[in-house]
Amino acid sequence: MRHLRLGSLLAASILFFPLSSAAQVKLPADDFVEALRAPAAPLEIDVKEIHEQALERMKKPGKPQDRPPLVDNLDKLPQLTLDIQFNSDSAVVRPESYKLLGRVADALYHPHLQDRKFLIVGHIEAAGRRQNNLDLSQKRASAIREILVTTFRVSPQRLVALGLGEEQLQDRARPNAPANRRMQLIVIGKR
Amino acid sequence: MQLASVIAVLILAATWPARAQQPAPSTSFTESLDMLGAACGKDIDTHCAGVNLGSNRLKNCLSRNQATLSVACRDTYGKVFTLIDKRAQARNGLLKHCEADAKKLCAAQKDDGGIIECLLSAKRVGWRCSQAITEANFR
Repeated sequence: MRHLRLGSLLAASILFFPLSSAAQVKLPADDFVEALRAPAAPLEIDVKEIHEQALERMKKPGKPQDRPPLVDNLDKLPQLTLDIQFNSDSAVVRPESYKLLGRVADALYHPHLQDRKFLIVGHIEAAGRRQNNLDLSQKRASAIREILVTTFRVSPQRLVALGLGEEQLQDRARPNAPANRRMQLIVIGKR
Repeated sequence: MQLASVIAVLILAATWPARAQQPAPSTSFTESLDMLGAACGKDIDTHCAGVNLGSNRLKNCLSRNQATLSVACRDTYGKVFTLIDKRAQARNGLLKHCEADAKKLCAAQKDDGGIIECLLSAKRVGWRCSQAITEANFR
C-alpha cells in the first residue's frame, strides 16, 4: 500500500517536471547574426534633421564625386549590406527578395540580437534627380521597416528608417554604378 | 492508500491530451518567405503588381484574386502567413512562458541571449517552458 502511494506520487511528479538534460548549449548563429552582434557604441539618429541637412546641401551645386558623407561614423558600426530588389521607381519589394527579408527577420529575432536597435538605410545611385533619389530611398527604407514591424512583428522601437539618396555613395568615384543602389542594416544601439 | 493512486491517474488523464499533442517547432521566416516567393512570385507580378508586403496588403490581394491564382500559390499563401504568425508568437512569447524558470535558474544572465542559452542548457525546466522552447525552435 505504501509502495503504491509513493510510486504514484513519484510518477505524478516526473510527469510534471520532465527532465530535459543538455550540456552547455550555444545557440546556432548564421553569418547575418555574426556580422551584427559585435559590441558597438550607440549612435543617435535624427531622421528629420538629417533630411533637412540633405536638402540644404542640395541648394549648392556640385558633383557627387566631391560630396562628403552626410552621416558620420556609420562605417564603423556592425552592419549588413542588403541587395533588396524593388519594382522600378517604387518601394514595393519584389518577390525574389522575400527570402532575404525573411533572413533579416530571423536575424532580428535571434536571441543575441534581441536587444539591439537597428538603422535601415536606403541609397540610390546618382542617376536622375537628386531630390527624387532622396525621397525614393526614404520610401524604401520606410517600407522595409513597415514590413518588419507589421508582417514579422518586430518592435517598432527597435527600427529607424533613413533615406540617404545619393548623399553617401559607396562608390563616389563612379556615382552611377549599380553598387551604389543598396540597403544597409546597421546596429545603432540597444533598446 | 488507494486515493493517492486514483489522484495520480486522474492527473495523468487530465494532462494526457496536452502531452500527446507534441509542440511543433515553428518554421523560420527564411523558409516561409522562400516558400511564398517561389509559389506566388508569378501570380504577384500578374495580379498584385503594385502591392507590397506588410499590413496584410499582399495577403488580402492574393485572397481577392484567389480564383485566378496558380494552384501552387493558392495552396501555399495562406499557410505561409500562418507560419509567419506562429513563428512570431513562439519567439515573442518564449520568455513569458519561461519566466519562472528564468528567475529560478538564470538570474545571473544579463540579456535575453544569455537567458535563452541558460534555459537550453538547464537540466530541468517546467513543462510549459519546455514546450515553448520547442516551438521557438532554435535549431
